[in-house]
Order: sequence, then structure tokens, then C-alpha cells
Amino acid sequence: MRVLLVEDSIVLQEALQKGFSRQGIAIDVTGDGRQGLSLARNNPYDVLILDLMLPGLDGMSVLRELRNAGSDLHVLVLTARDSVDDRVAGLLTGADDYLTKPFDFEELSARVTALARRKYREKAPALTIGPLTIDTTTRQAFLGEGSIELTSREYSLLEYLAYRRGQPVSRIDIEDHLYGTANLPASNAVDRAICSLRGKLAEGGGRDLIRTRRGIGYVLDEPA
Amino acid sequence: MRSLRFRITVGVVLGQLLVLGLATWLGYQLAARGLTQQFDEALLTRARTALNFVEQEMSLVLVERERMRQLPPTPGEVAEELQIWHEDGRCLYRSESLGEADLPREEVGLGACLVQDGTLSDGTSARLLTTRLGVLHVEKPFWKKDVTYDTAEVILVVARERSRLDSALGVLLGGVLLGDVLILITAAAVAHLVAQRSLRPLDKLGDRVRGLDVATLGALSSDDQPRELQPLLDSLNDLHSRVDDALRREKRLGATIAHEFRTPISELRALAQVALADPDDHEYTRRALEQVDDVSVRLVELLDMIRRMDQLEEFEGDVSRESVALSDFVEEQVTELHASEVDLSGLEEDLTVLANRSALASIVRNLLGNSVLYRTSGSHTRCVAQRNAEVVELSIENPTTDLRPEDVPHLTEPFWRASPARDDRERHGLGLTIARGMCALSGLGLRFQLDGDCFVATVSFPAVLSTSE
Repeated sequence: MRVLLVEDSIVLQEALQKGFSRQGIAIDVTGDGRQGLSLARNNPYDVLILDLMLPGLDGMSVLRELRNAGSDLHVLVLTARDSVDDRVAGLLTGADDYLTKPFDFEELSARVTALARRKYREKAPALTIGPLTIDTTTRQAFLGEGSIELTSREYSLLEYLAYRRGQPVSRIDIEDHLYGTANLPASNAVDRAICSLRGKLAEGGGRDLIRTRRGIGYVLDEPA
Repeated sequence: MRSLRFRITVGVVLGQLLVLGLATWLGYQLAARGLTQQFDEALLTRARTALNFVEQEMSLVLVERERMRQLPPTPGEVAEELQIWHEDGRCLYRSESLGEADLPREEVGLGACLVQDGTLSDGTSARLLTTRLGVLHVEKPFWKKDVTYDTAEVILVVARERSRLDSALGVLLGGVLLGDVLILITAAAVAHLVAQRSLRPLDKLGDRVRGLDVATLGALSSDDQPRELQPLLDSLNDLHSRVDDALRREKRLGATIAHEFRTPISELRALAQVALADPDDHEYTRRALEQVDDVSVRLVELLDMIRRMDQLEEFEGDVSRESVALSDFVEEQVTELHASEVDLSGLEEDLTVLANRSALASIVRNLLGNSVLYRTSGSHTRCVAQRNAEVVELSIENPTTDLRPEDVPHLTEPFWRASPARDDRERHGLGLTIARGMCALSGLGLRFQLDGDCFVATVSFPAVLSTSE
């Protein structure tokens, strides 16, 4: 999952970046409205976390311009403005969710995850592909009855492939969703991550869950 | 606290008492004079009647006692005494009751009358009339030749007991006074009733005002209210409007303060929660704690600003003033602020103002800080100080494209920002509010204007001294 955080508080930027990164969520941050708009237009984010009072361009204008440009990016407005009017205005302008400060990080994380699920049209928090079950709430994966020990990045890769199950996902696509712009991966990072993930799935009996489509990418699907 | 009804009633009664007192005194005086005049006229008539009994004979003027007994009795058998003197001093007649005593005899001119109070021989209070009248008489029998007529004058005093007159006057006075008392009691009762009835709308208005609370605070309707209460209603509605404004401002300020605290609190919570999620990440935990400290310092600054703003009014009256050389002072503030690109060439030399040095420093730094922060990129802040008539004005000007004319009245509102895009994260939006409060306490004027794209903040100093003075 890849998230863009547009928030002018450096402290919040750092704390949220740390928190989301630990969960294996790729996160880009900026404190400027115009730069945020540019990033959102040019990168395939799953969720945009948007503050309203921003230097450069205020959050509502960012949101308005995104929607006017036809973007279907899922936007969570994170702001200190707590009045009903502000919430209504935010939602009417095109926000998908609205969270007021001060907030609980777990709640923010859960809302971001829920927005990402909505993007892939998944309603249930658990994704099931054959013997593989992924609990997006606890960020755990199971093969049959046994859980699989995954790093946060491996989990994110598995979750992303699961959201797009049956569809080939290119390396570039995976890179875009696994790594933020600030953390450029090594050229074979995706291959190594896939290899590691396959190994752990194979240990649990899910050898054929991830298949390679030569020249296209990887597909996660039920074994044939 | 005295009752308004009591005051009205007492006022009406006192007024009535004054009018009635005057009317009674005048009426009584007129009535008493009329009665006394009647009494005196009766005395005069009596005197004239008695004169008919004065005999005229040759060379003699005398009064026959027997004939005098034919005088008609006084009405009601009122005690009366009569004495007649010849002009030569002989007593021609005196009432038997006088014995050998004389009635008081006053000197009066011929035909004149003198009426006065006195007593009868037995000491009874009486009214005495003294008159001098002429009688004709002949020197020799009228049948003789060369009869010549001569005149003689007699002095006549009639004294009549005045108890009836006094009694009539007493009854008159008593009646009038009793009437007055009855009128006063009635007037007091009517005044009380009228006051009670007239003041009832005031009581109702009081009940309505007493029944108001924050939830039901609203303008009072003037329907069914007497015209006289309209000014009071207007004042109350005006007061209500001011209270309402103040409440709204307080509410807005409270909401804004809460809003300003939300972001730092979010920062603190996020730092704590992320650090607690992985206690083994010592590097991050240390960094988070440093940031917690920074945020706390910012929160304390914000609290200090709010407290200073809140306490401004408490310092009222404690503002001591001293002479401040304005241009030097502004230069010092620019230096201490490390403000660059500030043009000080518009500061007139030798301008001295009366001001509180620390308050003025706070005001000037706030204005300078805003000017430097919000001026358009590459432009200068310009300071101008000059004397206009009896006022010294310090203007701090900067070109800006962020402000609209309709923004100017809001500049001193707490936490107000011109742009929803927050370019001034480190500023709380309280500086101009505090500057305004400081100016008010220091007796200085502060106004803002936008001339095209030039924003001007002007502080005016009413009391002016020049160094040469």
C-alpha cells in the first residue's frame, strides 16, 4: 500500500512516516499543498492523507483540483477543524473520510487500510485466496490453520498482490506501491522480496500461489 | 432601596400638601377677612345707630341714658360695650357694664374708623371700633334771631365680644383642614394605585429580563409596552446585542483556541503512540522525546500568549509612561528582531513620545514582525514617523498581495488568518490582538489600512514632546 501524507507539521510527518513505515506501508510526505497536489497527480497512491491548513495551497483546494482533474484517489482529510460545517464541506468536496485532530494512530491506520480496501473493492477485512487468508486488520497471513511469519514489507507485497489477485502485477507497479519516493529500492529488490515471500508460502504449503508471467510480472491466485 | 411606588406616592402627597397648604392659607385668609369685615361693618352700623341717640341742644351735646336703652339688642345677645366722648374729652355715655372704666380710646380723624382687637371690661376678647363723627347744634334757641349753627364732634367706641367670630373662624379653619386631610389621604391612595398600575409594565419587564438566560437570550419585544419604557427596552436590547456579541466572540475564541491546541496535541499523541508501538527502537524513542519537548515548548508559548491576551485588562491603570525617542527606539527594535530590508529613512529625528517602553516594544515588534513576514517577496518594510498637528504617528508599511480590503477589520481578531493556506505555522495569530490590547491600555491609537497593495499599520501617540521642548 502506498500513502501520501500532506501535512505541514514536521513532527506529525515524522511520527506518521515512522508508524506507517513500520507497518510496511510506503509513505511519501510533504508539507506543502502545491507539492502535495503534484505528487498526488503523478504517483499511484492508494490513499492520500490531507491536512486542510497548508502553506502554498490549502487542503480544500488540493482536494477540489484533484477531483476536478478526475482523480479517484481515496482521500482522508486529517484536520483540526472539527465543526460539522467543516466536515460536510470536506466530504462534499470529495473527501472519502474525515478524521479530526487529535487522533489515535491506530484509528488513522485502520481508516487508511479501509480506504485502501475500498480502492480494490474489497469489503471484508479478510482476503482469501485458496488456502491463503490475509487479515488486513491484524496484518497477518495464514495458510490453512498456520500463520506465516512475514516482515512488514513481505506482508505489504502479499496484501498488494492479494488485492489484485488473478491479475499480473508488474515489477514497477510493485515498486511504486512498496517503496515511497524517498526510499528508492535496489534494482532486484522486488525479485528478492518475491523470492523470499514464495519461500515462506512454500514452507506453509502454498508453493504455487505466486506465479511468474514472463515479461509481464507476478500473479497471486489459487493453485490450478 | 426605596420603592419607586413609595417615591411617587410621597412625591404626589408632598406636592398636594404644598398646593393644599397654600390654597388653605389663602382661602382661610380671604374667608377670615370677609367674616371680620362683616363683623366690623356690623360694629360700624351699631356705632351709627348709637349716634342717632346723641342729643343736640343749645350749646349742649348729650346722651340720654334712657333713650340709649332703646338701642336694639345685639343679635344673639352678644356682649357689647359702648362709650361716647365729646371732643372736649367729656364722657357723654358709657355702658353700664363698664362701670367707671373706660374703653380704650384711639385718636381718629373726623369720619374715620379704626377697628382693632381688644377686650371688654370683663376681659373677654372683643373687637373695638373707634370713630369720630360730627353733630350739629345751635348756640341759642332756634326761634331767636341770629341763630347760628355749630358743629361738635363726638368720639364713639363700640366694643363687641368676638367669640362668635372666633368660633366661626375656628370652624372654618377646622373644616378646611379636615378637608385637606381627606384630600391628602385620597390623593395618596390614588397616587399609590396609579403608581402601582403604571409601574406594572416595569415589573413585567423585570420578570421577563429575570427569566432570560443564555439559552433564551433574545431581543425584548416592545409590543404591549408603554411608550415610556421604549428607551429602557432599547437600552436593554442594545445591552443584549453587546452581550450576545461578547458571548459569540468568547465562543469563537474558545473554539479557535481548541483548534489551535489540536495539532500540537495530535503531534504529542502520534509521537507517544508510535514510540510505544516499538519500545526497542531506542533511536526513534529518543528523537520522539526531543520532539515532545519541542512541542511542549510551543504549547507553553501558545498558553503564554493566550494568558497575556486574557490578562491585558488586568494591567489597566498600571501603565506608566516615559519619554521615548521614537526613531532610536524603532531602530533598536529592528536590530533586536534581526529584521532585514527595513527602510528607516522615513523616521523623523527629534520625535519624542510619551509611552510605556515595554508595551511599545511589544507593539512595534508585533507590527514589524508581521510586516516582514507578510510583505511580498523582494519588497521592503518601510517605517515612517512624523508629527501631524498634536499627534505623532508611526506607520509601518509593506507591499502585500495576501490581504483584501474586507480582511482589514479582522486583523486583530484572535487566531485570524487571511489565507486558509497556512504559510505561518510558527505564528499563533495572536500578535495583533495583543498589540491592539497594549495600544488601548497605553492610550495609543492603532489603525490599519490597505492602499492598493500597500498595507499600513499606524500607531498614534496623543501626547507629544519634542526634545527641544
